[in-house]
Amino acid sequence: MKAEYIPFTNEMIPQAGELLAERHMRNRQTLPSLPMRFEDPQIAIKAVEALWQKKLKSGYAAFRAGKLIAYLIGETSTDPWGRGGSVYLPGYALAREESPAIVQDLYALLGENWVQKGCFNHYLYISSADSNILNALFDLGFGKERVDALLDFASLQIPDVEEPNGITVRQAGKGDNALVGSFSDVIFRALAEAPYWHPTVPEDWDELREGWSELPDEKEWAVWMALDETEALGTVGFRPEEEADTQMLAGPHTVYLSVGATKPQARGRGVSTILTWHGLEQARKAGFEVCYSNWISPNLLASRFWPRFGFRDVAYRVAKKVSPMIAWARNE
Amino acid sequence: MKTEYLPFSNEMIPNAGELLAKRHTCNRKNLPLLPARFEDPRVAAKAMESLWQSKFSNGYAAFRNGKMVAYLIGDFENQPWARSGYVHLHGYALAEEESIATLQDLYAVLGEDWVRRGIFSHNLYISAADTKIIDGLFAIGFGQERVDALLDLRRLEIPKMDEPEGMTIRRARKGDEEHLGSVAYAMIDALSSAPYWLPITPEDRLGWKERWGKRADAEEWMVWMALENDQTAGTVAFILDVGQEEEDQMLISKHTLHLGTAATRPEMRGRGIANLLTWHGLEEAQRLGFENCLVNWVSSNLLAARYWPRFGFQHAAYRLSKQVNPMIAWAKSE
Repeated sequence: MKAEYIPFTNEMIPQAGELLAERHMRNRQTLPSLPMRFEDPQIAIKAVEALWQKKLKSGYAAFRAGKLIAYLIGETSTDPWGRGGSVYLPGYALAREESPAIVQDLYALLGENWVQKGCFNHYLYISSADSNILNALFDLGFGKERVDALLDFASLQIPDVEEPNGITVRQAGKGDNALVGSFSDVIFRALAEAPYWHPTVPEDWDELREGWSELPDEKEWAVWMALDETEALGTVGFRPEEEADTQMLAGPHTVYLSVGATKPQARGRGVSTILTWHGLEQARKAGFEVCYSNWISPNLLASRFWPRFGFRDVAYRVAKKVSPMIAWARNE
Repeated sequence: MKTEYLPFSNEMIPNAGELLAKRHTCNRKNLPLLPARFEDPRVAAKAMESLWQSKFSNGYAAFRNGKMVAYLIGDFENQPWARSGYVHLHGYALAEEESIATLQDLYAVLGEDWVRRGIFSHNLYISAADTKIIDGLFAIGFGQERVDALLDLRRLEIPKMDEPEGMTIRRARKGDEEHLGSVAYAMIDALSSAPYWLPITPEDRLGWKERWGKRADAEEWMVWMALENDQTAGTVAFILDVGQEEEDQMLISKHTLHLGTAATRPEMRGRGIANLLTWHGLEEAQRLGFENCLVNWVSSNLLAARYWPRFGFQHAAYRLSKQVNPMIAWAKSE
């Protein structure tokens, strides 16, 4: 029997939640560090419900013989770099026996909906365990843009690392605002480089500096810095990652390695390595069990660095950019 | 020892040709339908030479211990939908023992050149046998856009098929221009639909109709058409002269023809028209002595991508693409 595609509605949430719970159970067979709670259909239903309550959501579901076999729910946003649509991790599921062609068909509908709203940047977060879906999206022109990864402290061996000569490592605290703020441009400059070329508009630069400067005052944050006699060379910042309705990568006692930056002139001296090991050691001492992080995969500095600590890929953001010319250059 | 990345220059052509010949030899182990001639370093070097002589070429090579371990050469074209940079099939090679990271680094420098020239649509043709390179490019944001595939006509068994009642299947001839042009829109509309969304400018649409019509009695074309009530239901068109033995055609062996275009009027889909036309064309190609058939399709054109593999076409190469946000021209701190 042929699959039938219809717009997603409230009534579909319970079935979609069940499908999501099944998907998560399968994902956990390959990725045991994922939190267990989403295997419970009630929790998964709550996740789908939270997505469907978003103001700018849209979605489609596939049915065969009256049974929901797949769904795709996304949300649009207006970002400084363009209008886009995103499907977050709880925003998709495909029944085990179904072909990923169903997800392609659902994306064709959802993507068309986005394109008609002027949303030309399309992002889908997909579990790294769903390689058949990733392949099917690659076939549609999606490339990998972000890697989400987990590090299990239970199996982590922290090496003895000596501080490089003349460099002090310490936690940032009161009064370090300017020092931490001095890193605010390191990441966005790296993201603007080849081969990612991500634009950050000039009017956002000051705001970024303010945000970074406030980190030492944030009670929940643990910010580590490496300094020489004159300046701050590198920093790594951690904060607890809370269990949330739609956060499918965080279990209890998860810490988020949120930012890591080394100034270009200090690279190649092991600054980030020592900071990260320090931070991970302290996080483990503080009772955290898993570390979550993410990085931009075409940011070659980052994507060749973080896996060295043992982070394991658990999800990807895959992206496709549609030419805005399509708004006028097609026959309707 | 660290890898050194240098702008490509004339003197590097012989070394690059050797690398390309080695790559092609490896590729042919998995894809025996590829032509053997590019395994000869002199033929490969000639391909490189013609590539490097193209007007807008630019490229880089990677060296370790003074030895070339990889290269990436591209050129660009102003397409109606974007200024587009291309690396063609002979535009890349990576020594067997080298990490894919070397090719990512080469793309970073080549791509930066393109971005500085306002070229934001980046397209790389990669052999289907180079799966590690494909993974390495996926990791930096490339998605698949086009599949190039080959069919071995010598081993192909053509099924017996009945023509649908009331339908005439025949080769196009002089006077069929309007018939052929009348279905061009079916392909354009498929490409500009979800999930490919290729923009086709209104002035280009007219050109498509005219080009399709001109094939009616062109010597280099063999066009099959299905007619019902004097209306064209569909066409499948083959290019008979594909420039065999040309120095840069890495997918074309002797006696290869190219299945160039196919279209079925939307309201007549599902009746097996394209199927019938394709089998007719392939049978005639066999009779004319062709040994291979080359075809390509846009992989996000779902109708095409789910259709052509049924005939037994084997993937030979892909065009991978990445679109850069043009805002990067001004929204970065220098």
